[in-house]
Amino acid sequence: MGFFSDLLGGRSLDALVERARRQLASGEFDNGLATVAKGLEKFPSAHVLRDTGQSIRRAKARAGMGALLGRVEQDSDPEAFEQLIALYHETGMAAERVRLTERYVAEHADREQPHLLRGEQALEEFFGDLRARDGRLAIDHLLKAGALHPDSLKPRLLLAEIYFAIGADRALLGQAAAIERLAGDDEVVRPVVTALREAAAPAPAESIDALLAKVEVSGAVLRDPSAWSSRKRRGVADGADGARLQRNLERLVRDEDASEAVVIDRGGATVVAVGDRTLDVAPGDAPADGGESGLARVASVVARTIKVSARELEMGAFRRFVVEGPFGVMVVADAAGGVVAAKARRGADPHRLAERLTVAVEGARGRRS
Amino acid sequence: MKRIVAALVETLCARGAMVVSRDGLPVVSVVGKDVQVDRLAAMGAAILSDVKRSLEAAGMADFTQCEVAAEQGKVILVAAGPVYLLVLTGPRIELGPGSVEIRSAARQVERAAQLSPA
Repeated sequence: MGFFSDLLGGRSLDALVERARRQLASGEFDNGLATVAKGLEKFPSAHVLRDTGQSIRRAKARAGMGALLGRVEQDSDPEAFEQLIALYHETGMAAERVRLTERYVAEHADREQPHLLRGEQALEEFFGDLRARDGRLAIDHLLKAGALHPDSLKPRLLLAEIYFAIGADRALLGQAAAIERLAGDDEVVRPVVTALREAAAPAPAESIDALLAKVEVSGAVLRDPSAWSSRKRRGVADGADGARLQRNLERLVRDEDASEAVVIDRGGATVVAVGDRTLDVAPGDAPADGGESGLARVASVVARTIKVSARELEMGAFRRFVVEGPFGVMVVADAAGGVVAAKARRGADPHRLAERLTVAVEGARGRRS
Repeated sequence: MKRIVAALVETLCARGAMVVSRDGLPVVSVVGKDVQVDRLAAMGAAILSDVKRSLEAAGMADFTQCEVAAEQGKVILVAAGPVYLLVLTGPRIELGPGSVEIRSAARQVERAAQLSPA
């Protein structure tokens, strides 16, 4: 063990994990995080490294949380609220983050920041699984933030994202006008305003709640705002990520882990398709342009129906759907609101296929510690 | 059949389980207080109607088992002769359609379904 450790210069996965854990135990949090980040460059799919990184971040955060909690409890200090909310976010303490933000809203209802924070959280949740109630909550808080600070650009941009996504074009044009008034001269913002105006086709009557409900039922947004909002987490395959994802899936097929793989974006469109097309729909049922494969169709149906059923069963966020039969194995996994699917021959290990698929998607979306 | 399902739920400490017909209609169910039977049945029906139809259209007929994994649990559906056995587990139970308990229960359900009058 010592010989190999020396030979590899302490760079094996075991050695990296051990070093990171030692640094955690001795309170060297920043060094520990650096070790994990370095390790993930080499072993991007190593769950043990990700978990260690998470433990280090939590330990680091805990060290600073006590004092902040005291300031929140005693003084209801807005700065302490914001720092603690950021810490909860950084350490993945989602429920605590939401609870604290709600308390911040209740105790400082006349400030813009708590509404903006809660609105942004609800917006993330909305784009995660498209629940109408999250969308409504996001809109209410962001409108309130905008009303409390009319010259603030951020709530307008976030509102534009959700209005754009659900097709609330009258409301979208209102926000576009506000964005133009606030930052129309800005060279980054100007094309956004143009994109919003070009996309909008307002209907005479528009009900935001009806549009939100429609999105929830269909399981897909009308338009993906990723292109202009630059928030990659809201699209599964944008720009460079898309090209990387295509390469990763091609490798999956080349390595014979899958015979075919597809990526469906949040809007239900097939953005990447690789591998053989033996799964194509029966003759006569196939699209004339030979476009969507059978696998893509199944993936779309899973995204539309199973995600909704899982939510209604209060199972939390959908992760994957695995089906096996005489035809082989098929896996459909969540990918930033869209889905990625792959099929493999009979006898293939479904867990390995699911794992490889996850690695392909995560690798394309940037390595995360 | 209900006894088999109840025993399975107890053995696995599952949130619930049910036997559903090939078109997704519930036959028998045993679920905990926190689970709404209708919603669990709806998951079974979604898999056995919409998803099954699209699988068949894609040349993937006669699936034998499937699993829906989410943050807070799993739904496992296994063919049991003329019916399907559906199990809902919590977040901490590491189980899959291939687990011995589920396969054994599915076999018992299959036998019971074949013996019961049409």
